Amino acid sequence: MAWLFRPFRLFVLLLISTGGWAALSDAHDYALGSVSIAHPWAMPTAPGARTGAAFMKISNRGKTAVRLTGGSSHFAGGVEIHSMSIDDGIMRMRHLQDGLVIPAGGEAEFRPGGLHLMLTGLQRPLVLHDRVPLTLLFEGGAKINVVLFVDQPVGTPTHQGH
Amino acid sequence: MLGLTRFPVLALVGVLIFLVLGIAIGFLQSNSKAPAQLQQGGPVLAPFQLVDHLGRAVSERDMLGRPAVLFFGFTYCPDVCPVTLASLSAALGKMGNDAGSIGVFFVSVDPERDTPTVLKAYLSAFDPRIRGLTGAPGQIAALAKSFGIYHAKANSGGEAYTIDHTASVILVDASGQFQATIAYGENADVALAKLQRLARGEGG
Repeated sequence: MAWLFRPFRLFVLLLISTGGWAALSDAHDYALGSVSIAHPWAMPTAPGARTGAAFMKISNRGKTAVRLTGGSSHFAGGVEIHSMSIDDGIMRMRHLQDGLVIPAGGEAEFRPGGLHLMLTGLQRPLVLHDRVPLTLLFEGGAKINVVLFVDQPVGTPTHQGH
Repeated sequence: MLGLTRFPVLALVGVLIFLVLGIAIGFLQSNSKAPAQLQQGGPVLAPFQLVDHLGRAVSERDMLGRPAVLFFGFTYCPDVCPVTLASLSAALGKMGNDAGSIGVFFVSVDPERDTPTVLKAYLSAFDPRIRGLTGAPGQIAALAKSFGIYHAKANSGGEAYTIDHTASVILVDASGQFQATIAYGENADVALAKLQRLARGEGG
């Protein structure tokens, strides 16, 4: 829990001095104590799609493991941690109900074809270049606010809108 | 007497000629058919009755006659499905006139949530030549089974379910024979070449 409280004052100071995390979005990296978030983004969603997927890299430079338990966003009814695998051509997706442990000195990479944060109950599609605020929740009550950039996956040709 | 002895000889010769010819023809036929039968050993499009994203009835007869591209998925799938449909849309855009000679179908494995109306809205984000298919679970299963497509509900518990499914794109020739697959994440140029061969009827 020490990792949570020690940097908390810094967190508040940052919030006050910058007018919120969105102001930090140029760098597009976020940190709270020993936990940092790199390049949070989400895929555009098709009209009528009720779910979206968000990706990022979460690094834990601390000496104790942390557990991501979920998240929240006013764009979505819920935020779930999902694993996804493709074995023998079959896609399997699972809701990690116990959250995801990021070991001390370790990192978790959420990327297409692997882990993702599923945004459920989308009220409207995520459109290319949207900025979507998302709060990541950690065990113990710590929160990190990030802004997802809505972008095409790298390596996927940008499809024209119709 | 002469007639009596000649008749069985002629009859015997006739029977022999008949047998030899019959065996020869049978042999030739089986020979010419053998390779074709081997090719036909693969999966074949089975009969089905579904509706498309505009509510129009679609059966295997609508699919036969020109090559088809089938992708099984669902609109609640946040990663593989939109990425695959976006990649297919990009490929169709590059195919020029070839794109017009194939049918492209997104078959929902989640008919409970994927009504024609939902599919219509969802597919508006992709190439307009992609047709959505949905309908009775048994009919979807019949179509999926044609090509060994796996699909099963997982994480059951109210609205929160997801569906495990084959992520590969299935290429089917004009006669309904399985031709090839495009794997998830396959190189875009390789996938495009496969689609072009399919469209031109060049076989897998």
